[in-house]
Amino acid sequence: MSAVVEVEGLTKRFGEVTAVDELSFRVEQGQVYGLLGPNGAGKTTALRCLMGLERPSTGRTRLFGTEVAPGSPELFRVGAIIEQASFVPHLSGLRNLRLWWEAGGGRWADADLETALAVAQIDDAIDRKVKTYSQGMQQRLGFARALLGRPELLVLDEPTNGLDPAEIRVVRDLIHRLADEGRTVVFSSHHLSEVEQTCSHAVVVNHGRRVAEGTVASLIGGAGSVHVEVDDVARARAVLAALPEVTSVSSQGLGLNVEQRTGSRADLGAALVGAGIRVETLTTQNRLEEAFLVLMQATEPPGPTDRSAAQHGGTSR
Amino acid sequence: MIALVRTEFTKSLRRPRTLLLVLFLVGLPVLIVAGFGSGPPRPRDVGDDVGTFRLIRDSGVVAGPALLRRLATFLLVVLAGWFAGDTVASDASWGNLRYLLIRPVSRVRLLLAKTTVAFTMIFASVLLVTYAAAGAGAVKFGVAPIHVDGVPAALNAGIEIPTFDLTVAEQWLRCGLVALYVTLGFGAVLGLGVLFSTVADQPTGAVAGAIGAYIASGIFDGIAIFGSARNALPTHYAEAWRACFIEDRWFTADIGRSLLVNAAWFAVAITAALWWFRRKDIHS
Repeated sequence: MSAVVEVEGLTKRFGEVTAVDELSFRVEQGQVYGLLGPNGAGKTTALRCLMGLERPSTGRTRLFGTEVAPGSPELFRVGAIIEQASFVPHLSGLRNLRLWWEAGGGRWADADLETALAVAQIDDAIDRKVKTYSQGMQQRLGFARALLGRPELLVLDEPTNGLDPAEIRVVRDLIHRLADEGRTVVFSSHHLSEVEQTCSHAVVVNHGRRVAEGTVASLIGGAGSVHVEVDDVARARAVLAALPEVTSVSSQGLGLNVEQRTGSRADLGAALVGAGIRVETLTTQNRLEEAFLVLMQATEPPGPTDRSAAQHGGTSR
Repeated sequence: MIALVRTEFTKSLRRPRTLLLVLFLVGLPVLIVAGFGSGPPRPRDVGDDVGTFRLIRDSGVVAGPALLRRLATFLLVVLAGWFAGDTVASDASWGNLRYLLIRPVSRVRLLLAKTTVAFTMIFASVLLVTYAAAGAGAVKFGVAPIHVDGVPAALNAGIEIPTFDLTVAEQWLRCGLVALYVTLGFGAVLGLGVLFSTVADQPTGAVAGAIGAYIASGIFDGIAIFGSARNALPTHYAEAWRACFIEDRWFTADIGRSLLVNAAWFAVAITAALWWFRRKDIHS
């Protein structure tokens, strides 16, 4: 069975500037897939190519097994927020939804307005002109628009921009709910915690290139520190320091912070238990942020071309 | 296509500026006609609109074409450029264009729908100005059949213009006809405005480009050294429609040339716009 999203060797150049460089990734049905990278990494450009808004210089993007072109019928199965959710300012929220839906050839009666309005949570303001909305309201209305067609795939480019923490949580819950319903979500962000809490899989992009790809758990597990609490701190320190994959051991509170070059938490636990030390807690400290920074450092340094590519890649234009 | 045209109409008609524009297009002719009526009638002069203005006293409906000639040289050009230049660029400036195009919508159909709406808005504006003036004239001066004096050949480069009469019904009908001719005479403005609109991300640039091109055409048209090349300029036959009120004719060869030249400019510009818009990377 073909993947919901396939990006193969995607390259997008703007003159001398390469915004996306041989990027490939694949998203299967039901995955919440993160496109993670710093500002200017090329995430937005990649998603624009995926939605048929920009033509790849080389490479291919496919939706539901079909190559994407402007106006592809497959787009009917996709809901999207690309950068800011934008609307016709002098029309009401409701009329914006309706015109957008009908312009695409849909019958208004077929739109999933109930879900859309429940997501938008703007109540009576739906009849107000969009130019009176706050940024958060516009972004929520953007979600409503993306969901009008009961999409099988949601493409969300920095969807929580402009939202407050409570709204971000609502969005996160919504994405989880959609994934539970079997829908696929492609989600770009430079907010690492957002990706960590939302996505099952991710591709890390820097300077337009793929740096790493896999499950979020595997991306986190590849590097960083582990916090352990044991009944005998002194002995545990000695045991852990002797392990070849451990680069440093330091005290933190009642426990120890262990920096690992390779291996997993399980290796540390096994070594401690093997030495007769009782382990109270053993938790990963680094999370995605540390893994991300390690990956970013590994793919530097940028030359002058890369810097200009970064300016072209994910910034608003 | 029909759904696209309907949605584009809704967007255009519900803009606050549309209401202001309607008020302006009705109010301005009414104010001008209200100012008529003082001073003695003047004889008809060939090549000037004094004759048409003189006829307003005989039948107020003639105020329609009389004002149209005045307004078509600048005000209506600006409006035509505005509607045309606004087509794609306004959506781009709102950041809404990318949302229109992430739907299974053909870019060609979208651009044609927007062009259809722009043409209709231009035609509606020209009609409004013409009939507002005609209506105001009718109220102020009343309506009656008019007798239009002919012009001897000696006074008109060897071509005699015969005397003729126009019934009231004909006057009203010819108002609509000249409004259509004037609108079609803006074909170049419409085409170029739409083309510039696909290139620009802000409507002001596209509007200025379309109006600027029309003004440049007028300047070139005024320079005799360009000779017969001027016949291909969109402004060259801009006033050919006046024959409908100074001669007893619904259509002339010059009106035909005006339509043909503007249709050609429109076709070339729209083809270029479609070609570009289909390939364009959408950033807005």
